[in-house]
Amino acid sequence: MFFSRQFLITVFLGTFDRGHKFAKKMLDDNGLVEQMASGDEQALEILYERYKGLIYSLMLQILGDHGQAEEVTQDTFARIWRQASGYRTSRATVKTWLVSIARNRAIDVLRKRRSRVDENSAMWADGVLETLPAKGTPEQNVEESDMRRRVRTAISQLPEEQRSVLTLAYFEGLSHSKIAERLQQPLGTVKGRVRIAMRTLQGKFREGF
Amino acid sequence: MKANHPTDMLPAFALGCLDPDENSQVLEHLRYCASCRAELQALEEVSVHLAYAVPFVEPSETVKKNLLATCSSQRSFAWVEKLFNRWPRLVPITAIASCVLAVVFATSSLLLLKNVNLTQSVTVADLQLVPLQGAEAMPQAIGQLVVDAASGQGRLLVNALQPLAETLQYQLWLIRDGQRSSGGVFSVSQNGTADVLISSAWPLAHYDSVGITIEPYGGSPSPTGQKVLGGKMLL
Ligand SMILES: [Zn+2]
Repeated sequence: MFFSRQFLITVFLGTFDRGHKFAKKMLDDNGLVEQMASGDEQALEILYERYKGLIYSLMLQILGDHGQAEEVTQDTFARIWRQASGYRTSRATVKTWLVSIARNRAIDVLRKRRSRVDENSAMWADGVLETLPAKGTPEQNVEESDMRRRVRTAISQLPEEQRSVLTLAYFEGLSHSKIAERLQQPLGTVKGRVRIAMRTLQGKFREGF
Repeated sequence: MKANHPTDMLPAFALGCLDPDENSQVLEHLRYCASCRAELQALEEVSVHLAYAVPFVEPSETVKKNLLATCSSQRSFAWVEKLFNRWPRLVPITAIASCVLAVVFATSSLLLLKNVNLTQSVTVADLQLVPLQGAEAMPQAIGQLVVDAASGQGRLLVNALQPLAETLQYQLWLIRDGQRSSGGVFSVSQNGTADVLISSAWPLAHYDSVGITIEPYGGSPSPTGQKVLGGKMLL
């Protein structure tokens, strides 16, 4: 025989497997989570590739430490894997689900640690400078970098006093009263700023997305 | 009755920065107000969009490798999963309830092991069972942790928990010396049942008790809502 039987089987399975993975990459997030619920690790891998940058970047900003950011990123996807069967599409998007799990975990770690490892405080990216995610389909990249640009512009247009309360709430998980204490501002002022900042962004995102 | 909707507090709720008493006020309102739930969903999207505003960095390849390795190894735990996925269908609810009641009155956990053996005809020698009881807010609720002694991993089974509004989920808390860490969030079926693989950084015997609270969908960093179930570990 020209090719061994084993060789042909390997080639066949390889093609089969790649074909499957290719088809799965076409699935939307909900489809991937459905696959994950039935124990499909490839679906997890694809979802991870899709959102690893988003989640890791956020974790790094909140925690300021690469090791911990990686740990929480891994833990977030592992949780999604374990909880995939309980996911309900009617409620939140997979992205919302991922980000909220990740952010909660990171803030939890931060609270237990009480202070950041490095001295620089978390911050928003520059509205103008752009770092492009390297992988993904071209459409995904264009869509994502467009999203980054719009969100950054919207945030950079907020008045400084609104941006600073938003930063403390989003990256440090501080409550209204803790923010008031930190900034030495009246509680009512802080509440007002959070509310206006969020409503302003909501309006801008609604126009732009 | 527009004045009664906590509209002003929803942006901060979505961001997770309300102080505890306001937070529970909003949680309580969301349980029955569909319009505020819809409003919250839109605000949560804003909160997610904010994640796009940080400098973009990619994690190292190790994260993916570790993730896939961990998730594969969790499949070796699949036999327990299969068993307990079947359990609610195989055993009538009354039998589950009687198992849990048996624990309440039993002087040793041995009796429960016998009961489970009787109803399931499987060996559970390596599984430890922890009964959970409904708190004041949901006295009818019952639950059980099933812990695999060897791996320290476990599942949470609950019954008769009230199905929640879509913006809310139940969250399991693993407690040691008053420190609470999340063991995962879950929703229940229309019948109030759920079967959840517990997420834990430590073997479950590390903790001294557990509790379940109602939280915003996706969970909270620490408990904010009403407690519905609880139990002591004694592993
Ligand atoms: Zn309302």
